[in-house]
Amino acid sequence: MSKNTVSIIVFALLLCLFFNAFSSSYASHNIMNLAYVLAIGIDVGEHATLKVSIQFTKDAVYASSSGSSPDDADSIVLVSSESDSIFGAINILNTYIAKEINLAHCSVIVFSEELAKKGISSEIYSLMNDEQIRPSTNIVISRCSAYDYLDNVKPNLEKLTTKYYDTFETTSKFTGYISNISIGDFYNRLCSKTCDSIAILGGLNYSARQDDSGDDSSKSSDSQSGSGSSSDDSSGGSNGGSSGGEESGSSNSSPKKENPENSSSEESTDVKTDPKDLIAGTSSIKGKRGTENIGLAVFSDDKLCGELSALEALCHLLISNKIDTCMVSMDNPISESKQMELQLIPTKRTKVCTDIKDNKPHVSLSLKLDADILTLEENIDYESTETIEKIASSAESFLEDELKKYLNKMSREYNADIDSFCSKFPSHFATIQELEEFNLKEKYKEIEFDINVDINMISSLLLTKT
Amino acid sequence: MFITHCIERIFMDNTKIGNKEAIALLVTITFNHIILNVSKTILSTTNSASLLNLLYVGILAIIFTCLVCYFLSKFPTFDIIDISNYLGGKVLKWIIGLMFVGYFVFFTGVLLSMFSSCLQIIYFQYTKTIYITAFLLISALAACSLKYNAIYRATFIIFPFIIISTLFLLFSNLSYFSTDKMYPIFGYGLWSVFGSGITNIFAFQALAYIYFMPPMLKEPTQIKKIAVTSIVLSCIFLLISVAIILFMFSGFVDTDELMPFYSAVKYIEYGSFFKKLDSMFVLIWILSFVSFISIVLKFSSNIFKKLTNVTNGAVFTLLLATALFISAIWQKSYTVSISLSNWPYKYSFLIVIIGIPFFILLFATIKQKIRKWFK
Repeated sequence: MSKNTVSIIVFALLLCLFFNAFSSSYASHNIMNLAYVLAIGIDVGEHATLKVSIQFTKDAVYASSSGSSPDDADSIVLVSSESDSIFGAINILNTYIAKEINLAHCSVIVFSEELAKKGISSEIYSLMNDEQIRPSTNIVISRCSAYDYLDNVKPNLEKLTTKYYDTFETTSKFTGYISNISIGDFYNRLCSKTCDSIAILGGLNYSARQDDSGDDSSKSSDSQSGSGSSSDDSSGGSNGGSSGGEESGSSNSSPKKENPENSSSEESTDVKTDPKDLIAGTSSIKGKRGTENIGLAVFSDDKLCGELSALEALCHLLISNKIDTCMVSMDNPISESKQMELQLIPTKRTKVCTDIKDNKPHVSLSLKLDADILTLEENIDYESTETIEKIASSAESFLEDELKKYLNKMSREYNADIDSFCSKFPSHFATIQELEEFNLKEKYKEIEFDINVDINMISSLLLTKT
Repeated sequence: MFITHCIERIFMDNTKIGNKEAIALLVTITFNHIILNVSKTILSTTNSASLLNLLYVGILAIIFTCLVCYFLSKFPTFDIIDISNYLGGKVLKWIIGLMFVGYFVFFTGVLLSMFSSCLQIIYFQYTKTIYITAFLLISALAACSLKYNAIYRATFIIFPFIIISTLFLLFSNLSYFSTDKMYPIFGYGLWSVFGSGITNIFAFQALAYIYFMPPMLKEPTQIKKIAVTSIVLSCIFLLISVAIILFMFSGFVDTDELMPFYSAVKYIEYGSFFKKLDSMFVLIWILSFVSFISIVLKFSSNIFKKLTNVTNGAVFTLLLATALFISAIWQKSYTVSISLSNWPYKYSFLIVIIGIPFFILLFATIKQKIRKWFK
């Protein structure tokens, strides 16, 4: 045999060997065998440790996305299962769906508040251990059950639910009421010794809450009448979820049209409109999509320790330079008992200086912002320097007060450093041993803040005199 | 006649490598260690002081390279095997030759096992690691069997992709960087940075290959320029890669990850369209790693050729590839590979690459000087 013949035979044998060896991996990646997950919900289970809910969209939606696609709300599939671990539950669902569940396109991971209070480190580490999960996947702590949250996610202005999940990042940049927190960010903070984790705070909006309470009351009346029938066939008793089982399909076009103020429901007492108190699950928002994200969930280590309102979330974003523009509402310094809305635009990155005085950590914050007046009152000259200065000074003291309240709440009440102040102190120490001896985490409770807000009042937009 | 002369000239030139190819070869060797184990090991030993430590060991590596090049310049066109032969005859030549081959084959096997495991976890969950290892090794073997030192030219072609991908990784992740993580500046203490931290010089694996470069070069007198440039470039690469990991991940030291660079790549996103760019990076790393294995096979085969005075190295390459394969597959789990790539690799480098060759070069130079005096 010639040398070339031997080479060809060896090459053919190797080709066969590698075809055989690698074909199983490629077959598993075949799109026909995969079920792509849009979102995962994780609750405390009734029959096992965890209840895992998984949201999919039907393939047909992608296939006909040229314009004639059906409403995505009808094509969403929500399934749930209980197990002692996330992947145990996913495996059970794998057998049910008969396709391999793939998390590569998962946009959101929702944890229920109840589970978050118990600690979610194991779930976070497990998810980060999975190659398919992207670090940019958003993490939401739901004030209702995670199942209910996913069940109520219906695209509003968007055709696809995934598009709605993509808006989290942009919303945080111009409202400041949420922060775009990803699982990668959460994991990094969880691993870090110098800062604590946060997550997006989610909940049901007014319409969904009304639906929810309606379902609850109908259920209780049903049970009282002894019928015992329920439309909810979900395995986990999802705190009165609007529907269960395989298809979410519940319509949110609620027949109830009550005014939040006039509602007789218990839920209506929870309605908040002031950004100082407003958090997810308390708003007056009515709409087809039953979910809302407002505020932040604060963690100490891996346990949920508190919640931040819309205004507090805004303070956090201003300090951490994660905002392009935002709106604040303060007492009007010109017309008493009225409110004034300002649009704030950070002009420089917030300067954070740290120092140690008398063995106590000290933080100086310096914020520089431009402001536009949005709310105008009658008979006021907004061109006048005196008026502008009065408003600017009032806005500065308002923001300083709010920032101080927020920072004191974080340090004194929650003892959670979500603004990563502690990560700026190591520069005062030469070695890690010195830093550990100082016990920064313990001293964080005594941290002192010096806040300086400098607002440059630009104008009142189009009208300068009324 | 003229044509024959030209062909001979081309073939003769093709057996040697140019300055740029040599630099690309040496930096590629360091890069392959960076993506697998070096950055993790540096971070775990020096924590926040990793960058300071790297600057320190980088300076030491440059000084050491200058010293080695000074000694090598005393023996133009000689490599460490020839110099060992000059110093201690055939016995020393065989000892040094086998020592280098053992070092190259064993630790490359460890890295091959790690890289195969990473590929299996990331892409080929249903394929056995042994097949991935065999695939990489056969590719390297095929590259090695090509004439006219094709692997050096292939490495030179891949090299720009390595640079561009690393810079792309750096700039794409800048938004996640927090430079505060470089404090406390001295990490675990001065000793860990300037004392025990000296072992991190093992990051400059290119040093091991400099000893064999002079006979391969078109211009052996340029060895100092080539070696120093390679070490400086390697140092820059190391600083960039360690900075990426240090500045991006808060608790990386406490929570060890499979492949730190891969973790960093997963964060790259440009809008909602350019996501999951990791495949592109992994492809470049596979090409780079195959180049690295073929370089190791080529160097080891050249050593054997010198030891046995056999001109055809094909049999040696095949035997070495088999040894490399066995070295890669005997490790039962990924954790074994990780532990071998830490302190055993470090201390082996200090003894086999820094200590013994240095003394051989030193004593050979002294011997040469003494002979000159007596003449």
